[in-house]
Amino acid sequence: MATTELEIRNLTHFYDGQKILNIPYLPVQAKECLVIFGPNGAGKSTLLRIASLLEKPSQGEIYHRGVLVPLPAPLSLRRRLVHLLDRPLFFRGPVRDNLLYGLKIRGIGHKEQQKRLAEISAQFKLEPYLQRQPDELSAGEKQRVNLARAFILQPDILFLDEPLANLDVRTREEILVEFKQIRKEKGQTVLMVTHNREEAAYLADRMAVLINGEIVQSGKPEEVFASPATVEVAHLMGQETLVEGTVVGQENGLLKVALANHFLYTLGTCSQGEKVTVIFRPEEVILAPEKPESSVRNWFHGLITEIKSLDKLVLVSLDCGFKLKAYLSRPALEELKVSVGRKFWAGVKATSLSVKPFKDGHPK
Amino acid sequence: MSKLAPIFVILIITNFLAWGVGRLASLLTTSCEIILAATTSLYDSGLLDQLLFAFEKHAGIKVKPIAVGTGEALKLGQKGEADLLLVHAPELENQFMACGYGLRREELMTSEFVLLGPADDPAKVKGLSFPQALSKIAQSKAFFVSRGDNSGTHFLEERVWKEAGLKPAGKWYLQTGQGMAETLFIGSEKQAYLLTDYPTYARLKPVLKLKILCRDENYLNVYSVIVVKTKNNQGQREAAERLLEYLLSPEAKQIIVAFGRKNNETEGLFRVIKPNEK
Amino acid sequence: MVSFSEIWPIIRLTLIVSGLSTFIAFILALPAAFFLYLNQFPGRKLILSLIHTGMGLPPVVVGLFVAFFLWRSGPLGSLNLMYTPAAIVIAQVILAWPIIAGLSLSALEQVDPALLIQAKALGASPTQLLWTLFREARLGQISGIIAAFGAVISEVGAVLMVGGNLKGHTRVLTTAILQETRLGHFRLALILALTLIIISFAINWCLTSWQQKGINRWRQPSWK
Repeated sequence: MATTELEIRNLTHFYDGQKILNIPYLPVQAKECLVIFGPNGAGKSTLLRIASLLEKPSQGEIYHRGVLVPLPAPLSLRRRLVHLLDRPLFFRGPVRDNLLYGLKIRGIGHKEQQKRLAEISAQFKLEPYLQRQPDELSAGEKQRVNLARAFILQPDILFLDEPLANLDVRTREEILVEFKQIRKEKGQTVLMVTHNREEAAYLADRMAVLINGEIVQSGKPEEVFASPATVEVAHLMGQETLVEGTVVGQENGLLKVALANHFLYTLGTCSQGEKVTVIFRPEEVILAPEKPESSVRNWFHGLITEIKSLDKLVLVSLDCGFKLKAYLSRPALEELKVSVGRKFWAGVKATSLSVKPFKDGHPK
Repeated sequence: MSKLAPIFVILIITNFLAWGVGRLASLLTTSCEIILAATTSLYDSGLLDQLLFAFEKHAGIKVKPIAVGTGEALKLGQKGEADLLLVHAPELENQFMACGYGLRREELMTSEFVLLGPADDPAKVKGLSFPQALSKIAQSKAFFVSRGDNSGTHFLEERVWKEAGLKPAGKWYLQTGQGMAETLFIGSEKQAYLLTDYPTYARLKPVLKLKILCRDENYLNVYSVIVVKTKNNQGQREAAERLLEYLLSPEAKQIIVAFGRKNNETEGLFRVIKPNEK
Repeated sequence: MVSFSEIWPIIRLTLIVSGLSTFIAFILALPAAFFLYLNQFPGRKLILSLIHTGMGLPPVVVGLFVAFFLWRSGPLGSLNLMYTPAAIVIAQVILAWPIIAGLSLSALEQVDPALLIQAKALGASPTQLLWTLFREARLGQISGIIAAFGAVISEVGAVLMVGGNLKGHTRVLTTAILQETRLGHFRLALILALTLIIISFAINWCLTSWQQKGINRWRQPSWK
């Protein structure tokens, strides 16, 4: 049975007179990787510092393994938590000394130091770098050392602030994979903040979305990505198309929504006449030159207005009364002969759409 | 090399420690110490070293000689910062005694003053008396370097100007504000005329490019010893008196008379004042 | 004239007095530097300005000032410290202290505060944080020691005034050089001067090695 390593309750935090955090409850389970996902300025770093007991909240309680933590926290407890800042900063001396810093501070004996050093150097592949000066290393190598010096301390919880920022794509991918593997192997509990979707998607066991200091959604990453709870969350998730419409009725257990000269069918429970926002996810939009026979319920006919190249995929914009975006792989692009100005059919399954009712007359 | 280094360091450190122990020992053995303020030119001559060496052996009193200008020495005496003064400005000394700062004053010895100048003697003063020579120098506006400080030498120089009826001023009259040696070096570089005591000149002659042009027996450099009235220490006053007595003793007189004397000369650099000479 | 047998005692005294002064100034200046680093208070800028002024104090002024205190007529006259090595050390500590305090403070302020936060986040206690701060500031710190040592071993104004250049007791290399020059013994003066420079160099070599320890010798600055 999973134990709760950390619980934050009734947290409100002010900075310069502004309320920047308002979180009634946030738990971190043992051995899980919880990712706090949100845009810049949401308060993620502050939240992380409060969680790792580096900073005292204006109001709120923190429970560590069920026990209320006295604030400011005692050193013995702080030492069971390790927090890495958003850029790797090292002390004077070779990589080896930097790795051992935390151990030396805790007064851990020489033999144990050497044992852990050997183990961590092997796991993070740092053996050739041990005697080098940290500022000679590349960004990726530095981040490995940074992570290693945290893991070597075997903390109850590891707090990471944007761990993969400033890394090039290849290094980031390497480290993503290594990190996930090592973390799972060691069963290290991690609380991490990032604004990068791929990191969150790949590393998180659970994800919490932080917008303007509040947690607006939490759950498994696939769930959050698939069903953003609000329009704002949807914006964060990616290139979704959001279109406003009105519910006109129900047919065969599906909602019928009128929008922009079209009718579409979708899952959802809203009442007749309600104004809603429909969320289209570009990876679920199918493009075809002719309208095919298929189980797909919704088809829209439109003109290709833009083709945008992303590294592995292409984002195609289609105007069918409203602007719809679709991802396409490059081979598919060539095969279908998609080009600007051509007319195409875009299809979306009813089950791939989500609707969010307006709240107080506004899209949520 | 690196094997020797630690041994070297240890030797040095032991030596330092030995010094420290020595200092501590001397601090703990309380012996009497007096401060002697001596005029720089006398200090530099080396005569003091000889006199004090003999005295310390025989009297067991530690003397700390510091070299200061006559003016500073008298000031220190007035404040009681020194116990004994060895200076050479009789007028100032008399004032000092009149103010009651000194307990006892005795004239000890004299040395000659000489007028130095460049070998080619542009002002043509060779063989003249001091006042005459200085008049001619002033007239011809040849470079003249003066001490310009409160030293005995300077006061004597002023006396000569006064007796020549002149006040020296102008670009040719340079005042160094420094000691005799520095003044001599400057005078030598500038090839100027200047007045100096003979012992200092004799010592520095090898590095100076000046010659003796005039000697005048009317102007002698008189050195006196003054026991200072210090408000605090009785023991130091007595020790100072003993040093004074010693300096007037026949033993000291012998050292003074022999000082700097070359083999075939009858006189050294300093002449002792006989008690009936005044 | 300084005889051959006198040269070693003069060198020894020079090293002892200047070394001791620098050391004592270091012990007294470091806590002050830490205090100024850790605390903001009204008047801090005033104190800093005074320290910076103190870095350039003319030695002869310091000598005069100390003499006022140590003279028999002065407040500390009963200690009979005038014309002793102790008096020289007192004057030289006054000369060295502002240099070490000012440069140490600079060194501390140049350490990235984020680094200290990271140290705390890795579990450092307040004492350990101070120690880490001290180690990170080592480069600038030792510069301060080097500058202070250079200042005291090369000055003549203070050591002459409060020491009196007494043979065998308070005669150091600088006052001996001055004296020999005054006596016209230029060659001896030059030898003493060279000795002073060589000794100063040897000591600074050691201090510099200590300062540069661990810095990769062949590394170019990364922006080149």
